Amino acid sequence: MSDEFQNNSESQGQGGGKDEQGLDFSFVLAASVHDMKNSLGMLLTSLEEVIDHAPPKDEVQKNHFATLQYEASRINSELIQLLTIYRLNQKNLPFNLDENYISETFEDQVARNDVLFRTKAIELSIDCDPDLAWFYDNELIGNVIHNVLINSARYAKNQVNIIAEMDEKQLVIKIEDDGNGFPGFMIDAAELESDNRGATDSTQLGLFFAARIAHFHRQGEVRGKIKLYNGGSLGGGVFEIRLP
Amino acid sequence: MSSRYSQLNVLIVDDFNSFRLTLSKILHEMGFSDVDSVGSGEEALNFCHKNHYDLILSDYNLGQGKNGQQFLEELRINKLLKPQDIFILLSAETSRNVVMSAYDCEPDAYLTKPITTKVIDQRLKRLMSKRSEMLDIYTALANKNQQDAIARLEKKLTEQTRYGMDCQKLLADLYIKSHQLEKAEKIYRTVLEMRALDWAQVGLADVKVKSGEPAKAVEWLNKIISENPSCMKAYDVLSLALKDLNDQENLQKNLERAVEISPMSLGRQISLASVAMENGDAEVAANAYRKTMKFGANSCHDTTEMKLNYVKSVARFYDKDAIKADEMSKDAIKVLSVIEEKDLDDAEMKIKTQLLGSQLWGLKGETQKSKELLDVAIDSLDNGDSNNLDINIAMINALTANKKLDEAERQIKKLIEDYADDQPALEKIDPLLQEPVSERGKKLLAKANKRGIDSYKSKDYAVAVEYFSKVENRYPRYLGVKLNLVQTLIGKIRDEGDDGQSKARCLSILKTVERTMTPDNPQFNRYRQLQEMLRSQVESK
Repeated sequence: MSDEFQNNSESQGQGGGKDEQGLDFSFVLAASVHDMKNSLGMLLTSLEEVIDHAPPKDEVQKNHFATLQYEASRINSELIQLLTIYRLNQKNLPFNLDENYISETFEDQVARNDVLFRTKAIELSIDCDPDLAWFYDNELIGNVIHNVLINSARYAKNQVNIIAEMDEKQLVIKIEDDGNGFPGFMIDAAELESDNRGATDSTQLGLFFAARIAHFHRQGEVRGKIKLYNGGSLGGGVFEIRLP
Repeated sequence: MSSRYSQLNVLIVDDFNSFRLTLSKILHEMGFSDVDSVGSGEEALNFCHKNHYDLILSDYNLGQGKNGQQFLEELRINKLLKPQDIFILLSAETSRNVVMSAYDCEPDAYLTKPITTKVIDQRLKRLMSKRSEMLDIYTALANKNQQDAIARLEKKLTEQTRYGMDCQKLLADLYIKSHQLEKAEKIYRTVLEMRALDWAQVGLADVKVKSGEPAKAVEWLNKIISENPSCMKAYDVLSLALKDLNDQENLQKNLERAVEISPMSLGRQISLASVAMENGDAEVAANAYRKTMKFGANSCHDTTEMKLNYVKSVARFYDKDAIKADEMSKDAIKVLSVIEEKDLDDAEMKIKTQLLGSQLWGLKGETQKSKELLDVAIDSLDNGDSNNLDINIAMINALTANKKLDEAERQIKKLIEDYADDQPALEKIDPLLQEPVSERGKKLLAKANKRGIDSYKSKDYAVAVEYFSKVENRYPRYLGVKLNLVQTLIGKIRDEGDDGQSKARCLSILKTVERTMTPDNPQFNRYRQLQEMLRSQVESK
């Protein structure tokens, strides 16, 4: 299945390649991914309402809700990534570079995952100058942060920090957790992806996505990069994205 | 805080009752007290005609009928939104960028569902605080006091503001609107020194167009588009530049590219249709009109006029490719019957519809139906007379399709006399004729003929074919050009051999000439000569 998806989108470029029956398979897949994403969106809204109306009575119930919430959010964000990558391959990913307040981008993503972090009882703190502004596509970078947050909701124990700072005329966004850190192979994979030498089959879609979005952002010849490492102020995994 | 919100009127538009309730609850908790909610775009529009809302939250998908974008578009067109009003589009449909690049107008904010309480609370607070900081500027704009708005923006930019970039964008826009081009250019250049942002690049190109350098703008805009094909504003400014340059051909190409990326944008789709029609590309025009009808159903573009234009473009396509046009005419007939079913109150529209129907049936070879409709139209027109040029032209087309060539000819002559001093009217008549009567048409023809004939003489046949074809596409009935084209093609076959298409093309052109050719036509002898030449050319091979 996944092979067909890839071959099709590679061979067709912008015009849309069709097989003998006039069926453009990658288009059909993308359309159905789109539907699944919308259904999941509805499901997540309902789930939030359920949790609101009937808060968990005990620890076991709370864990069930958290799992439901986490898994649904994860599928939802993976589907968004898939669609974005599809558009990227079709060369029709709308790119809207503008000046944005990083604190607002952070607030939006934190609010988006508010329920997830509350059910998981993980503290999510923002460390960012409210007046710090930088140039990037708010939606694409927002989605990258969203994915990383969902991922860290799974591996963090009690705390996740989301930090922005300037370093040599580049915006550096860091998302740290207090979990056990990333395994070595993932750190290597992120490095390969970031240099555009990635072998997509061995890595996660999320890394591929984040690296591509970072790469899309450039100033002159300098392009955006991602990096994974362990440590940071919480001693767990750190995801870092640099935007020139 | 709550007292500030409590004075504002809010409208919620969503087809799901449960979502309306949830949202309304959140808003009440935030301190809003006047909250109305409705379930469809049509209802929402009615509410907005009756009341003014400071804040509107609308879902994109509103079930059957208008969607949230069409609702917004109509609010803007009917001027029901003031500059300080906030319109938020909610959607599960797809990403913000994709939705935004697909349409003509933008909401103030776009929120993706699922929406949590915290998201909406936070976003509203931000939008409201921007609104209160910019309120004096928005009020000046609402009062149409541009100078005042400019002065306030200039002042704001000397102070510390969180909305500096927004202010610059707005100010540059106002400078352009008030023809202070140098000041606008200065803002764009300042921004561009920092970062190559699309809006500033496009703005700078816009300044170039307006200061009479469209060629420069075209160069820049093509570069912007090649780097970011989804920058829709660039296509719009490029269209302006190409219009200024009178480059109809590239204007059509540009619009074709733009609607491929954003087919839902009705404004561009309509421009494409009318440019293609002017260029004589009836096929592209028909497709664009069809999409306008498809995507514009329920919108303010869903008009009888649009449907008639569509049918007109299909009828016009018969001049070029009768077989393909016949295929398309099935759909056009359906559209005509939709118009008829509406039982038109507008007498003028009704007659136009009948005449167009008569023309189309006639072209399809359904003589009886065609004649019936023509008779009805003539009856209701009081002997077929009208002083409406569009109806006159429709009548001539219907008469021609009914093979009443003498009567058509008589009416054309009369029109040319009646409108002898009206150049725009004459330009409308040109496409009916075998030779242009308007100054513009004559000039265009003379220029193409001169260039074509020069190229023919220097045996540069391909170039000559191109010049003649361009005119032939646009005015498929111009006899002289058709014959020039045939002569060039014969020359090409004689000197270069047939490329497999030239001969077929000659035959098909001569066939269209045959339909209207009579022995008393001044071009008759030339026509016979060319027929002879082609025959001997083919036989000698």
